[in-house]
Amino acid sequence: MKGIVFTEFLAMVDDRFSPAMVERILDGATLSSGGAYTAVGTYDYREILELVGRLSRETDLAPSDLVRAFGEHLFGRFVVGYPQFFTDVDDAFTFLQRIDGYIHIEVRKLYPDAELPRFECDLSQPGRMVLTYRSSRPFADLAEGLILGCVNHFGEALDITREDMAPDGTAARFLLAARA
Amino acid sequence: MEELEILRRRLEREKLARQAAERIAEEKTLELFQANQGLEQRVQERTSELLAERNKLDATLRDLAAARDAALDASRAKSQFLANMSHELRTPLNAIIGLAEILLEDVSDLGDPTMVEALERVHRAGRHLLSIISDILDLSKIEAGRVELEVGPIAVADLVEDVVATVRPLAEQRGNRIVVQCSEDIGSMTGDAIRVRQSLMNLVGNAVKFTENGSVSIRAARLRKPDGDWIELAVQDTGIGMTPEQMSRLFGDFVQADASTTRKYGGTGLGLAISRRLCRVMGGDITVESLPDVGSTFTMRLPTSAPVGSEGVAVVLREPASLKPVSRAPGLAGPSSRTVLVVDDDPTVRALIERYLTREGFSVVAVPGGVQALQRVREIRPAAITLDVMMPELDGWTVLAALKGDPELSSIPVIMMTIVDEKQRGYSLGAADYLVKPVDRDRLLHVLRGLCSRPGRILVVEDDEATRFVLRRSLEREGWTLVEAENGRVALEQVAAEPPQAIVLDLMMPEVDGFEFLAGLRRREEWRSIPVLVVTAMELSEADRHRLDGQVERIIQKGAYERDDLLREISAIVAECIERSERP
Repeated sequence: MKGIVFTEFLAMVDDRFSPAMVERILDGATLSSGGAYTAVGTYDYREILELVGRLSRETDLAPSDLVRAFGEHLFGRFVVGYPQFFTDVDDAFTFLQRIDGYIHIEVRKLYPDAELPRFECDLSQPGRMVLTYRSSRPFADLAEGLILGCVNHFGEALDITREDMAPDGTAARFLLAARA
Repeated sequence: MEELEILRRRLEREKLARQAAERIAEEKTLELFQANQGLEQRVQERTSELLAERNKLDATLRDLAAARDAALDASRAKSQFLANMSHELRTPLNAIIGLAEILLEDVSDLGDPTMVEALERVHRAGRHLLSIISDILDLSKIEAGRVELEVGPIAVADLVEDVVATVRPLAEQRGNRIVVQCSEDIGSMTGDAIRVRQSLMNLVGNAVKFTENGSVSIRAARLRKPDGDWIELAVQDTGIGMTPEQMSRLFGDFVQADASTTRKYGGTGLGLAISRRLCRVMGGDITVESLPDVGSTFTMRLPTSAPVGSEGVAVVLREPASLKPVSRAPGLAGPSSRTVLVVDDDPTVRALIERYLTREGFSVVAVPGGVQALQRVREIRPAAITLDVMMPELDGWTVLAALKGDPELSSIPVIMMTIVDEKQRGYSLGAADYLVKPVDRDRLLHVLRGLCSRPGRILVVEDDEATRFVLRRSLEREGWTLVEAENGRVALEQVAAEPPQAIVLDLMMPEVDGFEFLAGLRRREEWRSIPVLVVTAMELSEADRHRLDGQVERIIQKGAYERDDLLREISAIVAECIERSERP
């Protein structure tokens, strides 16, 4: 998993909770990186799961809520860090459609060894999008948070319904529909 | 946890993270460097590949250029070969045709129809072969870009009439009706009359050939267009027609509508290809419309203004009159030394004698009685008179007396022809000879030749023995005395020994050729006035014509002329030149 996920996660904990919270979840965690992350590095994805788990225990908040919240935060960071993916895009459907066909292709050019999830879009019904998430890692919650972040970014009134396709969070179907 | 401790830990993590980032940056830099190296190497490889490709292409281009030059050389050599071959073939072929004609005349008199038939076949086959050779020569000249157009005014209606008149006998033989529609404003055009005639002749000839018991119509019109006037000659027939597939192959060389056409209708298949190319050289074209079993329409369009070259063909424009004769006094029509006045009241006898004599090269004026004879003799001043004795009104004796009593006419030899054997009376009254009917043809000819012998000697300079033989036979029968030379050197010796009254000259000869002979001849003041007629099977270039300009009376190209035409031409010109040279 790319280092930016870890640096952004710790930055969010630092920001939303406190610097002491960062130290608490790192302290006593068994991390091969030792918790020293750089955005350009690559780390074991299980480390983020452990960090989320520890934060959940410290805060009494459900891990899925924490991850979803982190997804929303992360999307905001993408908007700031990668503005080139947002030019000429005015709505969430258009942006979400471009993840597999454009954004991930560009990512792979920079990081040939990156393991990326797939986002399949079905727009056969007008005003609705069915987005299927599939990954080798259990980050359906993160995907949901990112989708929320995206919808919020474009300021659209969309209802998001999630249907899990695997019990471990490696696959889920999201239905995005205009709010009635 | 103390704030300081938090900061210390954070600083420691940041330090580790920075070091990790630096390591990653180092690795990426190395990767980039290697990628760059790899790229440079690939660029170099591609560059050398491209260079090799380019060298290969250059070599291919050089090969292609060499192949093209070789092909052009080969094409030129082929055209040159064809032109030479045509000449080499035409010379003996002319001799074969000439000899066949001579034999045919001799054999006709023997009355052996099998021999006549066989000789006629030889003659026809020879003529056909000659026309094929002419076609091939034409085509090779067009391909070699050596077409020369003789440009002059052409009266279109006359040209059409001329072509129709030539084709009419064949058309009638095949039961075809010929219709000519010539618009009133057709007028004239500027062009090469021979080529235009040849092309139209081909179209009309084909129409007649491929139509039986139908009609062939020729429409001539003048089209007024923004780029000038055009002449349109459309030849429409009701013949066998063609399928679109046949039409697509029509203008190819050696191609007829299909192979079976060649077997059935004959011909080389070159005519149309030549005609179209000639028309294109002249700035026009030939198009065709046709339906099988309905008929075909061939349309020839030519600009009325002087043609310019096209299709990459070099065209030399030459005024037809550029070959100027040495000098020629006007109005030389004096008494003809070969005209015989035939006087007989029996039309059968008149016709018979007229036929004999005409065939032997005499011109004949026949009259039915003494009164007409005395009238015409003053007008025509014949070389001799054959006179019947037993005639109503004025009889032969009275006419003979009248002639001999007139100082102006008394010198004309008179041959009495009668069934009454009164030789002594005849001779005593001044008859040159006396023949008893039925007249022995050979005897009559012998007598007439003796009386009408030409006054001059002709030197024939020709290396081909067979051609010399044909010329000798033909010219001697016309009453000329012949001297022969097989090349220019011998000819100059002959001229030195005794200058002839005229010279018939071939151009291509071993040792001293025609051009050198002419140069030698014109160098001597006293030989300068001897008229020279060039008879050649050679294709003359512009340079050749220039060399002959002003040096010779006339150029006759073998193969382009009928033998009779050729002899008439030679006789007329030689006679004219001799008469001129004898004038004070």
